[in-house]
Amino acid sequence: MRVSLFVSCLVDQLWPSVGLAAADVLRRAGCEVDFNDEQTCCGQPAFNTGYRDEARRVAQHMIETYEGDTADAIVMPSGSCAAMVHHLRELFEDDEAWRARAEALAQRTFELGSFLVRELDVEDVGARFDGRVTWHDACHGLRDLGIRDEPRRLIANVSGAELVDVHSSESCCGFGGTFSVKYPEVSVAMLDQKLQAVEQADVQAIVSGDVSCLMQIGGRLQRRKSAVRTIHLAELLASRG
Amino acid sequence: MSTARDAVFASIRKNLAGVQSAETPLDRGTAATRLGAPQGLDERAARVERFTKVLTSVDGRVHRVANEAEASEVLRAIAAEHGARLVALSDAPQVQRIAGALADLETFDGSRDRARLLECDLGVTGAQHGIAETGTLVLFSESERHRLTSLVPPIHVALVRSSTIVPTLGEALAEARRAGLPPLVSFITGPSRTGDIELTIVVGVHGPKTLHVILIDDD
Amino acid sequence: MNDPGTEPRIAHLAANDFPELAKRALDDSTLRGALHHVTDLFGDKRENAVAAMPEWEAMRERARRVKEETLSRLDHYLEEFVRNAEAAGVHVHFARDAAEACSAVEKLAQRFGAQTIAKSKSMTTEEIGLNHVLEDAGLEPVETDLGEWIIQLAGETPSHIIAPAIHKTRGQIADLFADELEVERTDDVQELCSIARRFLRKSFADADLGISGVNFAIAETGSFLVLENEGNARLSTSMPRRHLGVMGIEKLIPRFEDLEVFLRLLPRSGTGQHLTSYQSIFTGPKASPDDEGPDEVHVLILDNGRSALLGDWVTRQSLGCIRCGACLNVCPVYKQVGGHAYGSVYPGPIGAVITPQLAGVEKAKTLPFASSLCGACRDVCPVKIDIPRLLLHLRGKIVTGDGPPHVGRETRKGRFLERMTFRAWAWWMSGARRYRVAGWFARKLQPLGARPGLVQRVARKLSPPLGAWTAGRELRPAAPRSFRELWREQEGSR
Repeated sequence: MRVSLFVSCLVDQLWPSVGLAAADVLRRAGCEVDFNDEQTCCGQPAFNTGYRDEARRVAQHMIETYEGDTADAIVMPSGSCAAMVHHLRELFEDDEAWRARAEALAQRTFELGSFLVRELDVEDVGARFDGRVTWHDACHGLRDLGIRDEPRRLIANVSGAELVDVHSSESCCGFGGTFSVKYPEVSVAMLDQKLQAVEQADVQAIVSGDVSCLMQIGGRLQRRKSAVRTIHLAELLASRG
Repeated sequence: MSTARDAVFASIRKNLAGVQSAETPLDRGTAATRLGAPQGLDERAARVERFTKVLTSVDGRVHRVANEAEASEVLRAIAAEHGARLVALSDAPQVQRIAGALADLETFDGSRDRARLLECDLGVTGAQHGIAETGTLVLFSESERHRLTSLVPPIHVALVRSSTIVPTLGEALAEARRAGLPPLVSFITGPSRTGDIELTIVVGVHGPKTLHVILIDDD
Repeated sequence: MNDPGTEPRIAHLAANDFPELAKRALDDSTLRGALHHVTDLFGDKRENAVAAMPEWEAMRERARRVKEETLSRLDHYLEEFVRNAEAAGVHVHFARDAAEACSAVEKLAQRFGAQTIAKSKSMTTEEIGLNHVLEDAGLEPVETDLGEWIIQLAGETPSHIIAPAIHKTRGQIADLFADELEVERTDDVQELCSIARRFLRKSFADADLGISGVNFAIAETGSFLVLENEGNARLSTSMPRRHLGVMGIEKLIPRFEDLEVFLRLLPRSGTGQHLTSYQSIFTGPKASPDDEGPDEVHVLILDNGRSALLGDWVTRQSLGCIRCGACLNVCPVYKQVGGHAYGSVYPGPIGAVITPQLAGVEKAKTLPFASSLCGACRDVCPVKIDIPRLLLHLRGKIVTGDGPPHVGRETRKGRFLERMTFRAWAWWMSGARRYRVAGWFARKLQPLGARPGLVQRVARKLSPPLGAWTAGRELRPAAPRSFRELWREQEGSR
């Protein structure tokens, strides 16, 4: 299986280790991994703030980039970006040709964890991590793409890791893109309520599939001088203990 | 001058002009598909059991009797339990028969005397149907004058024949249709309740505090 | 598109104050405790009720389908309803907007010589601000739902669609009753309910007119249905000599059979009950003068901006709402700030889409942004309204100002900077080379904002979003080298 890795703009600029880890995990699962240098962003920041023209422009760049790429699958260490690709068609409601191109891209696009489990049938990538961790369901992966069990199964197979499910695992972390800076107090209050349950669970780390959530959660934990760390799923799966 | 009615219709039509719905009207058969309806309620015993269980779970009190004489006895015991003296009745013949046996109580037609109704201790009505699915009583205004008697007194006693219990909401709606859709169809499931203060459930805020159902096995 | 002669309006609207109202709510620990309690409890009860229903998803899909069928042929079904209701002896009235509706009710009340008016819970009459209009006309509308009555005594607006007074504690209600009703103070909930029963019994007996809402109106029979738990709607519609039901044009369903699926969906979604205590199905007034019940039954059908949403399936969905309140209970924003922060009688996710669509986006331009787009609302909606999609649709209208309903110049000016930022961003992001250069600069500059100190304080002043982020969170510093640089290096050595 030839995979083209889309790392997302946030991973590229802020969190490159997640991209490297994702490539490593995919290779361990037997994929041939490529990185298309033309990639930028999926367009979500503009789309979610209401700037459809701007989002469309970026989306067209994204579609063109991968039309020239013959990989079998485009895999992203982000449920949010993958969900956005599945929404791209909404930007081309009056343009049948572009809509078809957007749909074709969506067909080939997958979030990392669900790709491993659903497409490759891989649940154990031979990772080792010693400690108690909990999973944060990022909203778009969970509710737009229906990713719920896959990451949990992957984590359960990391030797040494103990997965603790907290009741707030499915509540939003409060990031929401520009929401986090338009209503920062509400955004942080949402997160604090979520973190109450996490802190009671006595875990070493919160694992998630999206760096945007981890940026929000990690930024707050750091401000609160918490000992709990944030780890991306790709990093956990690439970890050797 | 255009009326409000014309203007509202004109605005609806203007905005719907050119709209193609993705949904064609459902045919009646599909509309009546009992989605979500519980199964296994073909036998009367199963219906009675479920009706009793569900109604009890929402604080209804169910008494099962074999005939009208027993129903009278149970009604007498209920009145005694609550210290009821003044009892409003609906105009259903069965209610009159069963409650008429209670010589020590003062009874009156609840639909006729509002002043006494507001003072009375207990109201007795029949019910045209029960619904097994939801533990619900179904009352038709054309069948008996139940409207105030089942609502105003602090205690409501309903007499239900177990043969009239239908399996699901859908069958109850169909029965209402068959009865010619009287001006009021009342569904009653348990006593009046509220959770409006701190979500603490309190019964009897406006309607009856207690609902007794006397289930008469009529064959 | 709205009819030019009308002015859709939502009473007591302060939706543009969301930012301040939300902050105030966050500082109110009593309110937040109450909110956690109500949303958790309703949320859990709903979840349990749904888990016990095997065909839940099929039922939601059916309900969505029936609503779409109705709304896309609303002229047809509304005509059918009016014809059948009138044939059953119901007096049918129409109102284009809130003002016309209030004045129609006032005229009816006057014609009946009504002084006391018993009202059972109705979001539509809250929307049009009916009580104030009636009070100004010297009439006495009395809200008889316990929660609504508490709100009326306190002079407030509801904070939850199905539990209107849930922001108040029993202690606050005890004080309110003691002050307003001159009863001995008690904070026993049972006692407080008994007080309500005693006081409101008199209102029912005195009322010459009962006003109820309408949960469903059935086109093929001209019937309408009211669901409740307390019995106040039954009393309001049984004791007074006249009954008026107030409904929006969207309350219709085509067939009597359709009720079944909605009766299974609505209580479970709202309170987690398998059925509320009472359903009353009204079909015309009493058949003979000897019967019980009102002599006359009236229905008032309100547009107030609704018909303008029919043209597009995205906006039309919002008219499918059956007012269950489930989206409020799962919304992480509502859970923090409560209903009053939305400044509208329609709060929470559904309020954030209904309010701007009915009242005009310029009057509620903050609400579509008051969401993290988490999608929990969409998952619980019993009629499958895609609320996130509607929020995005409204955000688009607000930032581009291409109405209708129109956006004021002030909004456009205020959003100028943001718009320029996104334009520039789109240019940078639509070419890989530009993106790399921009990324290089961003990585050099961003750590200055991420590191606490003088530079960060200056940067925060210059960039409000940075300030907003760092007020409660650390900013993750950009990586010294981008992924693509590291990748090239790694692949080069492979």
